[in-house]
Amino acid sequence: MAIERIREIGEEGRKAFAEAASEDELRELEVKFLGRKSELTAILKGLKDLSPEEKREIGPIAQSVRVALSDAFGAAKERLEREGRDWEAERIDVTAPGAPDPMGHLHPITTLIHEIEDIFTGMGFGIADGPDVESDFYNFEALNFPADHPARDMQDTFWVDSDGLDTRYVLRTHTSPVQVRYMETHTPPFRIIVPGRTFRCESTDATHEHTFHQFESLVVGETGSVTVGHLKHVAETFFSEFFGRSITVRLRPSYFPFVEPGFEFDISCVFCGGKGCPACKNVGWLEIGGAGMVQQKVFEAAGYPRGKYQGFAWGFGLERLAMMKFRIPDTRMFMSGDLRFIRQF
Amino acid sequence: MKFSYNLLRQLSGTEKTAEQLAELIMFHSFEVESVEPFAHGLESVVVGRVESVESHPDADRLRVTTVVIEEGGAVRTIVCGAPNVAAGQKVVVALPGASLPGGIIIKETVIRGVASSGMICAEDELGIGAGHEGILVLPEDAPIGTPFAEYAGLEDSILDINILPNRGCDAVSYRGMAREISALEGRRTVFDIEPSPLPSYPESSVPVSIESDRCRRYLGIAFEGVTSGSSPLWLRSVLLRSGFRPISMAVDITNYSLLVFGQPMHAFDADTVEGGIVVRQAKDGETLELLDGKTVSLSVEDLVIADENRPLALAGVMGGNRTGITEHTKRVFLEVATFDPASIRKTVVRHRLPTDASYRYERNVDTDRATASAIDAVNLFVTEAGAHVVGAADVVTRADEPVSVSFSPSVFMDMFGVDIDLADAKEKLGHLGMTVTEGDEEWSVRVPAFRPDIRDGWDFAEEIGRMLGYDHFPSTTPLVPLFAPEKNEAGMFARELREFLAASGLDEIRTYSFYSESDGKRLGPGMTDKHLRLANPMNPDQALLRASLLPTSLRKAGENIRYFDSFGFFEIGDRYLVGEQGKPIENGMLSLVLVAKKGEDSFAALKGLISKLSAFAGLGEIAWEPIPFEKAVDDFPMFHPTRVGLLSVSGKVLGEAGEISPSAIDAYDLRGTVVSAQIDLDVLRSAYGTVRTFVPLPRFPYSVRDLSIEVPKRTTIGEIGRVIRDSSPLLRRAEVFDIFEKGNTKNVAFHLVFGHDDRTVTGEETDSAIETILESVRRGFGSERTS
Repeated sequence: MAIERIREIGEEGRKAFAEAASEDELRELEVKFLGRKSELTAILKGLKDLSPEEKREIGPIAQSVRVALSDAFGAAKERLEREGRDWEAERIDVTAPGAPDPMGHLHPITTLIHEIEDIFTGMGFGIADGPDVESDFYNFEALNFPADHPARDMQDTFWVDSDGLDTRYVLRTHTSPVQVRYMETHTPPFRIIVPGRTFRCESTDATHEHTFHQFESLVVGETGSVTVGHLKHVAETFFSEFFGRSITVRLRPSYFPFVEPGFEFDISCVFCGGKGCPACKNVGWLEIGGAGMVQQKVFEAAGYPRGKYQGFAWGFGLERLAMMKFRIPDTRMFMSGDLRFIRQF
Repeated sequence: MKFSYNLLRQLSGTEKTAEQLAELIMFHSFEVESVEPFAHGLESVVVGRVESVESHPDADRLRVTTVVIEEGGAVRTIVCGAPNVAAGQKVVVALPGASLPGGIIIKETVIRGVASSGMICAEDELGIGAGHEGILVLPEDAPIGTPFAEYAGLEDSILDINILPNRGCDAVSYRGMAREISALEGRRTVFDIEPSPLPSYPESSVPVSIESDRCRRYLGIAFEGVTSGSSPLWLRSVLLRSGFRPISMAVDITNYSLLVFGQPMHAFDADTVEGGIVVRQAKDGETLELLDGKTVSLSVEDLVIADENRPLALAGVMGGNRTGITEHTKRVFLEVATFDPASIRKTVVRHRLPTDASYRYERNVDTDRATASAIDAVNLFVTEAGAHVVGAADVVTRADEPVSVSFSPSVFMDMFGVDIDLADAKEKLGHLGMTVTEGDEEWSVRVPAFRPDIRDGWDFAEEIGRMLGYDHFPSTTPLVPLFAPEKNEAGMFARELREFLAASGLDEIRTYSFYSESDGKRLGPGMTDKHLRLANPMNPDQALLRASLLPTSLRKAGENIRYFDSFGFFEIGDRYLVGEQGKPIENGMLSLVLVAKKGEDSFAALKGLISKLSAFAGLGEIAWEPIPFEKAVDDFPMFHPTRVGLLSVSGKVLGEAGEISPSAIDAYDLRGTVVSAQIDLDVLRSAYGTVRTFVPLPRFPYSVRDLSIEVPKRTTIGEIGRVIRDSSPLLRRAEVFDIFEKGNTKNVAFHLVFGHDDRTVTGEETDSAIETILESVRRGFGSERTS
C-alpha cells in the first residue's frame, strides 16, 4: 500500500515537473514533491518506525523515487531556463571579423639566418659577428689584399670618409674580416659561422644589390686536421640538411687572396638532383659561393705562427639562397621595407 | 680576356674542341665565362673576282662591274662606287641577304637604272678596319667562292676567360694560356723549351736612361722606313677575335704583342722625340696631353717616359698625343719596358685611366718577356711594315730571375688529406715550367720569373691539387674535438627579441645603412658632426651612414601607408656615429614604428608594447621622463616636443619614444598618428640571461584601498606615483585606474595595495598610511583628496 503510494507520488511528480510552465509553478511543485513537508519526505522520515523487513522493502524504492524526482526537477529547471531566454536576441554573427591581433612576420633573411644557425649550432659551431664599418686592416690588409694590388678591384668598395684618421674605414665588403677578429681572441681548434650585412658599391638591379647579407663558415685546427675533404663534407652536410635532400658539392679553382687554394663551389641542383632542369640551365649544378683553405698570411695577421694551423672557410650570399628557397625573383625586394613582401613569409 | 680558340690551339697543340677546352680550363685553372662562335657577321660574304669594269651610263662616280664568285660560274653585275676597282682583282663580295657588321643590309637593287646584285666591300664595311678609300683588294691567291670569314680566319670560337689577379702575370696572354693548356694535357710548350736570345742590334741613335727604380728594364728599338696603312689581314683578324680594334700597322703590332706575350709596347713617332729617352718620375706641375686628348697634371708619384725636354707618355698607362704614330710616321721608336706594378696602379687610380697596358703592368710583367716579344715585334715590323732596325738600347736595372722555393710534399697531404704521387707531382710542376730538385724531406723548385705567385709550399700544393682536379679529393668526415661553442649573447638576445616582436604583431624590415643629408639634418643640429659619411656614395640620397634608424623607418612607414592604414614594424640594426678622435662607433638599435588612423591612441599602444618589451627583457620598470620643451625641440626634432619621453632603466638611458612631429609627418608623406621608439639594444639586453630566484608568496592578506586625488593639471602621473610610493613602507602597489581632467585640475584615482611580509596589516595601520600619503601629496602638489 505504502509502495503503491510512493510510486504514485513518483508518477505524479514526474508528470508535474515535465509539464511545469513557469519557474513559479516549478518552485511550488518542488515544495510539494521534494520539500521538507512533502508527502515523500514524510514517508522517508517515517521509515525509521517500520519493521526491518518493511524498511528493507520500502526504503530503496522511496530513495530511488526521490532521486528520480530530484532529477526531473533539475531537468525541468534547465528546460524552463532555456525556454525562458530570448536566445536569438543574443546571437553573435560568428562569421563577422574578429578584433585584430595580427601575427608579425620575420624578414625572410632573418628566417634563413635562424635556420642556418640551427643547423650549424647542431654541429657545434659558434656564431660570431663584427662591425659593418670596418677598418682597411681587417677588411683587406689582414686578408692578404695588399694596398695597391689589383686584387682590391675584385670588390667594389664603399669607402667611409676617413679624413684625418690614421686608418681608412670601409663598409665591409664581406664577412671575412670577422675571421681575423675572431682569431685574435681565440686559439684553435674552433668552428664558427658568421652571418651578417655586407656592402658592395655597385648599381642595383634584379640580381645585384649594394647592401646584402653573407654567411661564412670557418673551421681551424692543427695542420693536417682540417682538409679540403672536410670542407666538402661540412658543406654537403649543411646543404643536405637545408634543402632536405642529398646534396653533392663540387669545387672549381678560383682565387681569393685570403685562401689558398681558393675555390668556387657548386652544389648539385636542388630542383632536379643533378639530372638537368631549367633552374640549373641543364647542367645539373648551381653556382653557390666561394671557399678555400685559410691563407697562412691570414693566420700570421692574427698572430698565429706560420704553418701551425690549417683551416677552411666557405660562404655565400644569403639573398641568392633565399631567392632560390622562397622563389623570389628580384633581390631588391629584401631591402625594400615593403610589408606586402614581408608578410608573405 | 677573350681568347681565340684557333690561336690557343695553334700555340698549345691541344686537339680538344673549344667546348672541351673550356671545360678543361674551368675545372683546373680559371672560370670560363663563355664559349661562343666569333660573331663576325659576315654570312653571305665571299671572295670574288672582278671580270670587267665599265662606267655607269647615268652617274660619273659609279662603275658597273661584273663579278664571279665561282670559277666558271655565272657572272653577276654589281654597281660599285670605289675608285680603285679594276678588272682581275680578287675582292670581297657581299651577296644579297648579307647583313654587314658596318650596318649595311645587302639587297637586290637598281642603282640609277642599273640592276646590282651585291656589293664589293671596303674594310670598314666588313668591320675589319677603318679604311674606306676604296674596296679591299685581296692577294692574287685568294680562292674564289671561299666565305670571306673563313679566308680571313674569322671562323673561330671565342673563350672569355676570367683570369684572377694572382695569375695576371702569366695567364693574361695567349702564350701563358697556351702554356697552361699544354701543362694540363701533360706537355711543355715549344716556346718555353727553346727561348731565343735578343739579337745584337746596332747601338740606338736614341739613348735611353732609367732614373727611377720603378722601371726594371727598358728596351727601345728604332726603326726606319715604316710603311703606313693597315696591318695584314691575319694580324687584324687576331686582334678582332680578341676583342681589339685594328688601328694602324705600328699600333696593331704592339697590340698583337700585348695579346700574345702579355707584354705591353708603345710606338713613338721617332721624329717627335727630342734627344734621348729618360724614364723618370714626373715633376710636380708637369702636364701631359694623352692620346685620348685629355691633359693630365702629373705628380712625382707618376712615372713618365720623357725626352730631354718634357714628358712624352704616362709610363705603362698611355702615350702622349704629340709623339703618337700618324699616317706620316716613317721612323718609329718602339718601347718594350718593364714597370713596377704598384706604381702603375697608383697612377691608374689617381688619373682613373685603366688601359689594356696598365691592366697587365698592374698584374706584373717580368723582365724576361721583353726579349721574346721584341724579337717577334721586330720580325713583324720588318716583314709586314717594310721597316728596318737602325738601332736598339736595352737598359736593365733589375732583372727578374728564377727563384728557388722549397716544398715539402707533406704540405700537400696535410691540405688535401690524401697521399701524394711524388713522380707525378714533379712532372706536373715541370710542365708548368718549374724544375724540381728532390731533397730528403724537401724539394727545391726553381720557379720561372713569369710565376711570381709561387713563393711557398702551399702555392705548390695548390698547383698540384688543381692540376689533379679537385674532384680527385673525396668528401671526408672530420674528426673534431667535442666542445660547446662560445655563447654569443648579443646574437641570441637579438634572435629572441625578433621572435618576440613578431609574435607581438610587428613585421620585421631591413633597410639600407645610409640615408641623405636631409635625413641627417632632421635629427637636429646636434647630430651634424656625429654622422659618418661615405667617400663614394652611389647617389646623394645615400651619402650619410645612419646615425639613427628613425629616418629610414619613417620613410618606409610613408611608403607602406599607401597600402595599409594601420600597421607596426621594427628593424634591428646598427647605427654609426663619429666617436673619439673621429673613429667610427657602431651599436645595435631597435626601431619600433606604429602607425594608426587619426584619433586612435597609438601612443598608449606604444607604451603598452614597451612595457611588455621590458617584461620580455627582464628589465623591471622602464621610466618615462618627459623631455623639457626646449631640449625636445633641439635634440629630438623628429618627435612631437610635448609627446615624447626619455626612456631609462635603473638610471641607464634606454632610448626615446613618442609621437612623430608634424614636420616629420609631412617630410615622410605620413598621415594618422605615428609613434616610434628608438631603443639601445645593449641596454635592453642588460638583464638578459639573469637567473631569477624564487621569492616566497605573501603569507598574509593584502588590503586594497582606492584613493582619488586632485592635482594641478600639469602634474604628471609619474611624479604623483613616485611621491605615493615613497610615502609608506606598507604600500605594495599603486595602480592608476582613472584620470579625469577638469579645468586646471585633474583627478587621479589609484588602487593602493598594502601589506606586510610577517603579519596582517590592520585597518588602523592602513588608515594612517593613507593619511601619510595624503600629507605627502598635499606637500608635493597642493592637492586634495576627493574621495
